[in-house]
Amino acid sequence: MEPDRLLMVIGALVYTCAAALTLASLARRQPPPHQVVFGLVLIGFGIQSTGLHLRGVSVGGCPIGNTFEVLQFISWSVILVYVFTGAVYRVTILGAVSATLAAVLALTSAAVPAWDATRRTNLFGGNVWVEIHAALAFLSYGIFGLLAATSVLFLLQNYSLKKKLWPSRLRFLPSVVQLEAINLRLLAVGFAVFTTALCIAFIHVFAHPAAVFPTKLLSTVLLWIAYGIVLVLRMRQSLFGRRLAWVNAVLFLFALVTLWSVEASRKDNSPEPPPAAQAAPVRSPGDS
Amino acid sequence: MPEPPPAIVLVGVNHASASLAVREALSLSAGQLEDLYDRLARTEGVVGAVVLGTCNRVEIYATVTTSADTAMTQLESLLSVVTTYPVEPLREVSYGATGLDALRHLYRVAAGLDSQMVGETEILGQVKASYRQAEERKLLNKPLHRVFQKTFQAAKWARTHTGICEGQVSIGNVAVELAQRIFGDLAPSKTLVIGSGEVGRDVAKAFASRGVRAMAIAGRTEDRARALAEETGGRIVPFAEWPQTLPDWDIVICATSAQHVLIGKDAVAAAIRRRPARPLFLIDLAVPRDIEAGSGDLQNVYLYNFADLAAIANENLRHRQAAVEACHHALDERARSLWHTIGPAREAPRPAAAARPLPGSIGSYN
Repeated sequence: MEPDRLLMVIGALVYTCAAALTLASLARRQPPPHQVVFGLVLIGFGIQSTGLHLRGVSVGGCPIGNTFEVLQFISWSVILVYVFTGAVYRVTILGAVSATLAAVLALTSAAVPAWDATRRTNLFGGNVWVEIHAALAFLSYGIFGLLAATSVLFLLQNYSLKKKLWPSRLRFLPSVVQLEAINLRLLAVGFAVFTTALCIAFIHVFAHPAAVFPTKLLSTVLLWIAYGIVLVLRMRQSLFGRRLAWVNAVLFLFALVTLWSVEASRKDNSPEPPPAAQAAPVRSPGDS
Repeated sequence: MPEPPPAIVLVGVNHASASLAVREALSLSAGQLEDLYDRLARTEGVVGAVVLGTCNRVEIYATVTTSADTAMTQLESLLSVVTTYPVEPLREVSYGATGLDALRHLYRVAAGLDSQMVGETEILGQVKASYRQAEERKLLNKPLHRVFQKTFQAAKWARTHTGICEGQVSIGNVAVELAQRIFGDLAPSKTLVIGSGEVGRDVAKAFASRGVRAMAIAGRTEDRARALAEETGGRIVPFAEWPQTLPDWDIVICATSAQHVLIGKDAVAAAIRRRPARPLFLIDLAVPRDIEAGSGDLQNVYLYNFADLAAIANENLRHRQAAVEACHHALDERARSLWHTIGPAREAPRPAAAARPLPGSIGSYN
């Protein structure tokens, strides 16, 4: 196994250890060891970042040229968001949730060797704006992924409160109000990052309309509109609580489906990478 | 040959034998309690009686000179007349015991072993209050006096020397823990307490001790409401005005003795519409209930009644079941010891009425 791939898989295994440690604590009805989990997540993040860096060097840009790289990048984005927001929220369980989500994504990516069989070098044709757009778009996917995970936590907490269940393993969940606040902020930050990625992409589209996959354009814009509507409804207090949590979870599933559609359209339609300094079709959520 | 001393008889209904709706119908108002004591005093054959009425039980302990079977029938009829609850359905949910069995039951009740929240300590105060009420009405004859004094000693012993109170979770603490699952930090939460009775007071104090800063008390009895406000650092809301302020509160604790619903589902829906994204935690400690049951179906509204809180507390106590079992045996020994001194030769023959068994939650005494 090549060093970059090996490092990314090791990073995923470290995330898995953090998640398993949390689950083991919950099984013993004890609070998860926050500092140990956070330390493991940081170690995994460092190892995964090194692997992604090595891959980026070898492909000559942000490593999002195949399914393995994309899932690894989203997994890395989830942890990046946690590392920068976990301390702010001081929510122990968020580290475990982030680690679990990152581990699932990263291990899934490694489970199918074919997803990493083809590597595209010079993916962005030397256009730094396209690379930034792609990186931001996948970062927003990471944020929306974390949002979906915290929404599931909200649903669990809300369900147990409504049904008057008292599962001792759930007593370490953040409160309903905390989860609602986390979800609102993740939604707002994710939408802002996604919007920035799309703005960059549209500049790229207007400059090079031939480099656009129509299916991808449509699904991405639909996704952006959907998250925009959800954010507006939340700000107007028309959508909140359980319904908002369900919408967040379903929208992220839709986002993952659009990723697959991108992959399919890229395989069917992708032209050869253009020469350096020219716009190239980029396989990323916001690309159009 | 001297006349045999009176026998001790018990008739009652509790959370294990009857549904909440039935218990609501049988819950005694102050006037009904007074009426029941009057009727007991006038009933032929009844020489002493203590009525224990709590949220979860109505029990009559009586010393009688008639046959226990007849006495139980009389006591059930009296309860039926006073509460206007039909006697036949009452008999289906009531239980009865005599002599040593009645004594064992009383010990378990006072120790909190028969409570919905096993090991809770409020019940001992309620048993003592019932004892005093009977004493004031001159219905506490010598055997009953001795039985209740020994009961208090046994209950205190159980609390001190067994593990049934270890890690004890009171209703107040359970309510606080639930509130923390909803709101996290409770300090900024606004809490309204409606009613200033004992249970409501305990819960309000639990919230105040967890740092709730904005607390208000609305009570019909102004002196008690003011005393509670002073204890909790809260302010008074006139009882007539609290309905208009409902949307302003995050946590509403209801513990009145009202015989009807105080907060309907429509009122809760109207309140939540004015603060849709902020949860509303309703705690209904009253029996009969103060808050319409369907209110909990509304989004962002969490409604818990006394039985819900008790169930959670019992879940917390599950791990101490061994201690509870040991306490059962120890209390039974104490009851038997007392019975040897006051009535081995005096116990009335087990009557047919006692075939209606004591509820399953307290198990068999044999």
